[in-house]
Amino acid sequence: MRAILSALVIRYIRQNALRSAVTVIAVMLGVALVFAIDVANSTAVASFSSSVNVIAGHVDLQVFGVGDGFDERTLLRVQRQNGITAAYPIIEDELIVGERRGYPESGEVLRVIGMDVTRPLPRAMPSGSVIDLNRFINGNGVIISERVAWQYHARSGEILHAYAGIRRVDLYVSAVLPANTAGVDSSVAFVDIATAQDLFLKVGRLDRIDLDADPTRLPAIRSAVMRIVPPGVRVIKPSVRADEIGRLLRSFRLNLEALSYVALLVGMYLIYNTLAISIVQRKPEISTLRSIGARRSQIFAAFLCEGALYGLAGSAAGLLAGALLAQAAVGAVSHTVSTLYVGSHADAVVFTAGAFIQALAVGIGSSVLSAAAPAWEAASIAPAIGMRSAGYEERALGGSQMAAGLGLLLLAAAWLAARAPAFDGLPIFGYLSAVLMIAGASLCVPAVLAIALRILRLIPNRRLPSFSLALQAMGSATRRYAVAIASLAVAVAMMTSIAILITSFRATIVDWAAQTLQADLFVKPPGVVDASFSGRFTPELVRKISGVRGVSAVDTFRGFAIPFRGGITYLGATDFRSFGSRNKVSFISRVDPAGLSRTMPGSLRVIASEPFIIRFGMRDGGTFVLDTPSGKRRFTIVATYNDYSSDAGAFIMDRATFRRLYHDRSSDSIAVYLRPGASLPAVRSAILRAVAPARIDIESNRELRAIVLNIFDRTFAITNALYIVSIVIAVLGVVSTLFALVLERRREIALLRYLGVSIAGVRRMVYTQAGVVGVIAALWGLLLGAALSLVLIFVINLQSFGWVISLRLPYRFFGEVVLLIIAAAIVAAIYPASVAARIQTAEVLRDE
Amino acid sequence: MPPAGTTLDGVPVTSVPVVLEDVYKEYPGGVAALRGVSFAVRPGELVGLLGPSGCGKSTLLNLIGCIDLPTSGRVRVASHETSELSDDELTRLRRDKVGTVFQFFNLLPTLTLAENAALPLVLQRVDRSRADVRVAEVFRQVGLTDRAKAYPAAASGGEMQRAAIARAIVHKPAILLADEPTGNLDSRNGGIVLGLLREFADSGQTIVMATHSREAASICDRRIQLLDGAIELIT
Repeated sequence: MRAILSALVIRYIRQNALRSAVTVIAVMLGVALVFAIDVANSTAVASFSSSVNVIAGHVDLQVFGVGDGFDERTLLRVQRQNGITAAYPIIEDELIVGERRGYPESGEVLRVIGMDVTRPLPRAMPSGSVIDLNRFINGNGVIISERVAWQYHARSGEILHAYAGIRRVDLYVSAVLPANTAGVDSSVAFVDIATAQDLFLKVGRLDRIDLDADPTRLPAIRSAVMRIVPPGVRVIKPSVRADEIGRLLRSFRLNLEALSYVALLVGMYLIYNTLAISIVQRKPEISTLRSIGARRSQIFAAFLCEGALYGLAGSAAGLLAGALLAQAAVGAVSHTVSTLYVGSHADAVVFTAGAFIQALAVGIGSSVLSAAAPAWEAASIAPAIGMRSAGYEERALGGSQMAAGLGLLLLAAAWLAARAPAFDGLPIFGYLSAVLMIAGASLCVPAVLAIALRILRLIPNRRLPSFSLALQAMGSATRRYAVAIASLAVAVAMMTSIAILITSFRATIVDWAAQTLQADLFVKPPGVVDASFSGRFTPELVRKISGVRGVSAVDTFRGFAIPFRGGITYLGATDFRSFGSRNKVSFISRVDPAGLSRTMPGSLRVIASEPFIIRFGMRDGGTFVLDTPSGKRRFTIVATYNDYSSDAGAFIMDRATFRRLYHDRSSDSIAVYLRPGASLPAVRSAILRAVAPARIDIESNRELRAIVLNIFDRTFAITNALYIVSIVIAVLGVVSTLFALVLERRREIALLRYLGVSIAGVRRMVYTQAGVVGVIAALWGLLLGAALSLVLIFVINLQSFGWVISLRLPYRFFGEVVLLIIAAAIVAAIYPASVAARIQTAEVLRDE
Repeated sequence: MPPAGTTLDGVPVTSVPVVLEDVYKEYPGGVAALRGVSFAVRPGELVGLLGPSGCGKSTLLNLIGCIDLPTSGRVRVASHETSELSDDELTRLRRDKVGTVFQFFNLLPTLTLAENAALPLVLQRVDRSRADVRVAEVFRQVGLTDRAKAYPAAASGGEMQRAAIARAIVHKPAILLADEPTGNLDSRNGGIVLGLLREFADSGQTIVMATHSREAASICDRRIQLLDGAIELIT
């Protein structure tokens, strides 16, 4: 076996170092992406998990409130329970630091943990830290991370300027946590619980109690505690909350990871093609080995080993490249997670052995898998056939019709899979449909190429002998070219489908924003746009704004995340009385907003977002029970509306109902309507003056829409990077294929040179072939991409996120992508063309 | 090289299809393939290059076929001195003035026998209808009319070599080169091919043939015996 491996594989790889290197690079890029995205996702989630449980190192149970928290006297009742050895009260809230006036996204959210200093300091706090406890407790003391201290110029003993909601606060930096503090991400800050209650206007209230309890009696203790906590308050294990966040992020992670695998898939085509071509070249050797006694299984194993070698080398390099790439990816993923889901700040990339092993296994596994078919082909070579001299590829490779038939079957299966419902809330059949579609379309490529060549031959080419010779050469190696075309087409298809998705989604968002953002001004807390942060405006502040000259009306909104059926969703409250005159919601259900203004106030009715309906399997007229601070209440869904602000889903109740059940009068955002003829800048300035010294940001309608679209574009930035890598890999595939075919056809090219084809003519032939590859790949890719986009928009996105998107086609992009791919394919031909042009006619024919 | 206006056996030198004068050819590594070879081929003459393997026959054909250049000395093909031509000019000379028959046929497997034969006309951008007429004509000459649409894979060795001959003469070259044209054929097909070559020479085609075969040598007007890169004997 060793001898066969050495004769067939090792020496061949050495002799064809360039092509082997291209193959390894393709695997490397694919593995690097998969690894980087996996690590970035894990890091973003780990960052959140570590901070939610940052001081829950030895906590057995946690008591959690929703919204405004719960009465702090609950602590005393809980402490008295049998089996509870310790109970630590916690306030969780956010501060904004680094905000610059006039820059709505300039600030950073610090997640603040208000804790009782009688409990042990955070498990991560370095031993030996000396803290002035008196100053910490009574002087607005804060413990911050080294990064925050450095970034905002607030060292130990200095003052950190921040905003608690709309109020400016000055905090005394009592200690700085070193950068390498394990388990605490740098966006977390610690204050005394009394300080936190003051800062966040939560005097007499708590957000959470951490419990140490007898671990042998946890279920009983949990039941006992649940009986004594106020309505709406949960008693859970620390892992439950992280799991809920995990579920919230599950679709986001899955979609991103699925996309990263496309690059690997494109790389697999390249490995397949490299091996398939090399096997044609090695037919005489394989045949010789077979005729002197090598078994089919040994030949098969040798070529699988070649695939594994490419996989191993590519994966090893991919892990290194991926580790570097992860640094960038973590930032992008973390930012998106922060903006759309939960506050997350990843300081350092979390590399786990599992991620390394998984990426290595995926890289080697996919390489071996792509080598299987060519290896089988090699093993099937009979001892005598391959021994004849030289090796033009046989003309009739055949099978293209059979492949096309199988391809059409797979496309039909893809259509069926696309119609299947979600599985466990995930679009498993949607992904299956996409994979089947890619496989089916790839299998159709040889037939498509054959048809295309037939059409191209109709072009009068008597004056262009290089053109007709190029087409003739392609016709003789349709399978080889088909694989290169298929891989490029898959990359184009991914790019196209994502572009259609983004264009459609963006246009839908623009329409939605136009329909729902109707106020003239929007008031928000200063400095940030972050899913984890809300403003908390008081009724007094709302009244001040209402009273400003030029303001005709204000609408307020209050919303926060709540646990719901094992996951997380958003509860919102607004005043439905204004719906008669100002409809702020884009309804899917047939509903009369004016009617809602009469039936909703004070009732247990809600309107629900489309993602909420899909995620939790609800419908108009359906009901659900909510554990509110006033006890369990059954709500009825009276209408469904479009919402693209969160895939976690949301429902909105009337403000009066909310106030009655949640005892909460605050607002997160305020929409301001101006009187006809009022000057927008003047009213904006007047509002700022009216609320002083409170600090707020006021965005005009146009500015807020720009922010919405900015967030949207940023969210998809990483997606763009992913498909660019896929294109690069596919272009490498074209280089490799053209190069291999030039080498394979040395004799033919030499003969043509002998018969009178000039060097320029040989180059033109290779460029023509590249151009044809580019054109077919671009057009087939566009077609496949359009089909994939339907699956993405109407199956995967709908089932993952519940977003209903209207289809829009980016026609200009289609034109650009065709030109880009043809250009890329021709650029890919530069080196193979120069190799072809250097073929020495005399030497090649003499070798014969 | 004789000065312009001079004659070779009464033929103006500018009309002599092939003239070699004191030709040396060395390959990298100092291997001397040809050492001071001089001879000329008259129009319509069939010249055989004979000698054992490695004596320089193929090198001579490469030089006359304009796919290689001498290290020193002069090679004149169809009135052009090859060393003075650019690669493009050599390519054009080869395309228009030279036809070659190879031992292993060298047909493109994806083209029919007729399409293979038409290749030189395609490269000369000859109008398709004229090309088809000419191909039909040479196929009649080589006796392949019925097999025009066959692919090489479906043709016998003799048929393939006759198609290769058709390709070599379809564009009416000044010189037809044949490199062991019967080396891969049985005696019957070999006889047919040699008969065709003799026929062409009789009708005025200049032919240079490298061969080991005694039968092939016997049809030549002149035989140049080579040994170790030098002319040993001309008969």
